[in-house]
Amino acid sequence: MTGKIAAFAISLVAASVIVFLVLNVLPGDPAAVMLGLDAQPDTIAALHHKLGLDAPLPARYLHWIAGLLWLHLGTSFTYGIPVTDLLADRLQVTLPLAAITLLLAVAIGIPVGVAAAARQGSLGDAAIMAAAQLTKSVPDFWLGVIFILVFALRLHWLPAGGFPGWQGGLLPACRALLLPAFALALPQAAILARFTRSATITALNQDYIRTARAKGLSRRAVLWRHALPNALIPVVTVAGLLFPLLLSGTVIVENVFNIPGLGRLLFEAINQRDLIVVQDLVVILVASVVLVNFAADSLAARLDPRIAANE
Amino acid sequence: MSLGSTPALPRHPSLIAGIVLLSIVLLPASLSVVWTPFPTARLDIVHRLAPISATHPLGTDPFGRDLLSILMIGARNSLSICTAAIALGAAIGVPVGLAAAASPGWRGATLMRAADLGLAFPPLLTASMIVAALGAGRGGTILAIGLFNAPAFARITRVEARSVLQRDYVAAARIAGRGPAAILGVHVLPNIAATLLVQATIALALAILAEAGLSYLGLGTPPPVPSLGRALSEYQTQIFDDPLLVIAPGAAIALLVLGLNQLGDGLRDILDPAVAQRA
Amino acid sequence: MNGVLEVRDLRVNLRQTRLLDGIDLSLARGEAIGIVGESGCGKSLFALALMGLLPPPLRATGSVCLDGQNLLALPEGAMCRIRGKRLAMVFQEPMLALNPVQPIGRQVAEGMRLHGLGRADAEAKARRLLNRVGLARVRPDAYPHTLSGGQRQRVMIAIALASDPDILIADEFSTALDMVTQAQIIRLLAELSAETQMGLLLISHDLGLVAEAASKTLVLYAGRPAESGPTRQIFAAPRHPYTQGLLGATLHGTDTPPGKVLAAIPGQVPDPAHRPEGCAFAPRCGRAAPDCCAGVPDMAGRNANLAACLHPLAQP
Repeated sequence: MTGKIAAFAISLVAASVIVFLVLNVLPGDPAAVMLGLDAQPDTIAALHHKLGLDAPLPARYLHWIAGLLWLHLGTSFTYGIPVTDLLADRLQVTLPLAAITLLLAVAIGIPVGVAAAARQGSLGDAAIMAAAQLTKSVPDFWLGVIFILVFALRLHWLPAGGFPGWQGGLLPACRALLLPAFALALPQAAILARFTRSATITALNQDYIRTARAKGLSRRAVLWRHALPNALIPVVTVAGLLFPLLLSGTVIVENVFNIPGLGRLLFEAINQRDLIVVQDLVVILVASVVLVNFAADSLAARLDPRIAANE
Repeated sequence: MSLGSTPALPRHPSLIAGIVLLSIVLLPASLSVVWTPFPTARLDIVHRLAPISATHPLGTDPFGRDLLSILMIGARNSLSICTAAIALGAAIGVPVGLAAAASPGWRGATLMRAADLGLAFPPLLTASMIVAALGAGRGGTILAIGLFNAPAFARITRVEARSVLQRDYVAAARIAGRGPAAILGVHVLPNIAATLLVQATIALALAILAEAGLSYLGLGTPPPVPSLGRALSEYQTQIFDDPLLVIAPGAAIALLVLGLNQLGDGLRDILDPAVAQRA
Repeated sequence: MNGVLEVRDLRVNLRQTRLLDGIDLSLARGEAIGIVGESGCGKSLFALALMGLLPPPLRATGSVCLDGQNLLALPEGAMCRIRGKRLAMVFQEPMLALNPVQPIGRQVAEGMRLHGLGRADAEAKARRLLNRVGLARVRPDAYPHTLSGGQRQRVMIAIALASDPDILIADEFSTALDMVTQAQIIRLLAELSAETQMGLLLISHDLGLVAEAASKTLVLYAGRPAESGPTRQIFAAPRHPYTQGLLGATLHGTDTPPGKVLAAIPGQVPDPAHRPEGCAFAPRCGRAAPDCCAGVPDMAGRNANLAACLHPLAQP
């Protein structure tokens, strides 16, 4: 276990170094990039000094990391307010959106996959898998746009975009998040469904299933008590790998539906060349990917006694 | 229990479906290298938002450009960028995987952990950084997608290479004095090529989706080169008046991805029957 | 003729092919019958057919009567109540036959709880059973991957015995085991059989095992019965040429003179889809005559020893 934690920590550090280098070395002069093409040399020099860009790279890196750990993330170049405040603000939108999406993807994907596995070879199975294949081939932002067309503009069931804020009430806020969450969740559910199906079928073909049936368990009992607990182990690992997709997708749908979350912030920051915000945001998102992978691996190890034994 | 054999082709519907779907997009895309119905660089405001007609099979966009031509070039663009990206990912991942397979113990494990770092950088985040620092461009997209794919290639290569390295004919080659490079090149690579091909196909499908997303956000191919993802974002405001403008680019992407997914499944069925049993 | 288990004309079909072609068997309380034959002769299919666990598209016809009730005619729900409780089975390959994510104690107790026992009683009984099969030193909360093949097989036996079945079917259970463990388990099964009048169906390709443990034997060839009768008699004086061939190809412990060449039976077992006309063994039989290819011989004989042969070996 300590080995895993050490590896996790090293990954975090390595990732932060990469982010730092890309955003501080690649652009040549970050200050010049942020100020734009027609900036005056002395304006650039002033910004240089203000941002501490005169210091050597390692010092700047450590200063930044120390800031991250103490949540002093600097001031946004475009908005002029502390990045921490910006993030806190936007997190209130993105976290619920991501949570709803995850819930939907799992609640739809896993049962569908199990249902297909239980009916393996039948017409129902083929139909479910064809639908899943189609759904996961469609770009999530396109799905979002189509949803806007159908459910918002034509049927007027749900808002076409924007976010009224949580102060306006729980229901309007959730209604605004529903379409984006679905647009994001459906392709992920499709991937989960296919994977769950194949993991369940593999489990159902194992010898211990035959042993269980010989005890007198019904087909249904065998599926739930023996096949699924085994099938869920690889599914948990794959869910960990789906997180980067969830992240990218959240950024995209926030822009499709004009929702003021972290994704929209990233988009705005890139367009405005606000390297400070970009750097902080990217490193936080990268760190979350590393964290989720770590969590998924650890969870898989808990569920499967064989993995723990091999540690 | 085989009770007579049937010809190979009808038993592989996935492969056929994949090839057919892919061709629908691939053929016009390839054609676009030499010819498109209309040039996409020129604006033709007079004919903006024209409906479907004989001259414009899919109508025109808000700037009067022929939608079909835009889709053809956009598809070609996506394919060339993504193929380059996957090739990059393989070029990095496969050697790393081979090295890890050939290094026993902690060296191999450390190599793999280092490779896994790529998984922490989804294409969106890498592209975000590159665009913020340097501006949008094909190179950034290729790098972002390629780097994210490298770990998967490394993993698969390592697993497969390890199993090949344990076979008797490899031991025989070692005893005969063959060097490690020769063994890897002559024995390991040809045996894992099929698996890598399947991986590449499926990775290509995901890459197309990633590239479309990046272009949608403006992080991919900059104008004026047509791009499917960017087209979708440009035409989004027209969604109420002319839905075809929004539906068509998405459908083109979906066809491409679906075709590649089916092709990948079909190839896997042929090349790895044990896995196919479950699929 | 009124055993606990009466099998009449059991056939197993895979679409057009007949994999098992007309097996009869009569098992009495406390009796042990051995079923022998080469790989592919249908022994395991026979066991699965009795348990109602044939994977579709395989189908069984005929009758399998347990105390008069035809199991083949039972709906699945009723069959679930019989499996484990009255008919139990131990499978061949123990390595993968246990659920890797459940402790063994729970797996042993599962069948008992299914058939009505309370949790505490089931756990206690599971512990006793594990002791009985020689796993006293293994904790019930151990996971299968911590056990050796022999230990896993013992757990399988504990699972099979959990609900005190009337009949235990052991399908090649000894293949994964060393000689010592084999002997221990045979002894255990014999004890149990004597104690509880549990019937035993011992499926094996190991003639020595069957000779020791079973009072009656059924020899199968290519999905059909070849010979059946009291074990001692069959082994001492086989009537079917195939049985003789099997015995000739076996070491008889210290009875086998050193240097004796084991006689192999020339040829191969036919594919069930391509059985020859008439007697399936005729092409490989040294005693074959033209009428052997005319029709499938019935099991026939004067006393308890039946053989499906038109020209059986002479009885001394």
